[in-house]
Amino acid sequence: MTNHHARIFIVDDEPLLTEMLSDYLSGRNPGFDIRSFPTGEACLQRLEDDPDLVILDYYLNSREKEAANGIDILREIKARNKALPVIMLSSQNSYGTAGRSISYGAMHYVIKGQDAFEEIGKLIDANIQTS
Amino acid sequence: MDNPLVDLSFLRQFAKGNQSKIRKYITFYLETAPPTLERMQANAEQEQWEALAINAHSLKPQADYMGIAALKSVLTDIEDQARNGAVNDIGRLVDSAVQLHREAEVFLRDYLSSL
Repeated sequence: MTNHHARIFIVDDEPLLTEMLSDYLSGRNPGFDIRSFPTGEACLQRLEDDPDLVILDYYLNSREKEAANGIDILREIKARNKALPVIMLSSQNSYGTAGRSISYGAMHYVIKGQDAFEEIGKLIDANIQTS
Repeated sequence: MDNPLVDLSFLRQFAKGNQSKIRKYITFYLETAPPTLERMQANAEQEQWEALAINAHSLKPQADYMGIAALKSVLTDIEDQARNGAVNDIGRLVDSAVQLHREAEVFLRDYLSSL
């Protein structure tokens, strides 16, 4: 697949992370169409826009207690489109959360931190062909 | 302009020296951290340990990006203790997180003024 304008969805309820990741990925590839969502539900409503990859926070209910958490959103995304690559994000260095994410179909589990941006960029490069 | 509590070297490098981006990121932090800390204080008072762990967890990377290592460390301890149910010392830790944020906030606001 050659994709000049890959569409990337970022789902995170923390605006600082969303903004920094969006800026980083735009700087790395200005052709990316990056869209941010503060909840998983908002992301699911736009899945019909056919993203090439989703970056999904594991904990999505720190602000809205009733919001679905990332693992539920991951399961729903995979139920709708099994082939859609999902990178799970969390600041928890835990085999449990990582294993759960992978078992439900996440392509990779990235720990939030200063190295996360480059790691996500490389994962996107490896999984979405750009030119 | 640096401070023993706040090390902005990562943020400067990440933003490639772009001051408007640095300003934007610091402003996001200053807008989002206080309400999160308020929720954490309420969680601790009401013994809502799972919510406290989630709120500490969500603030941890933001402290990391702002280079506030001491705050990140305290948030890690709060999250761990809240998840493990070892909560005897957790009120003091939450107070410490609030204090560290306040000290960092003074520096960050001065820094914003200097940009």
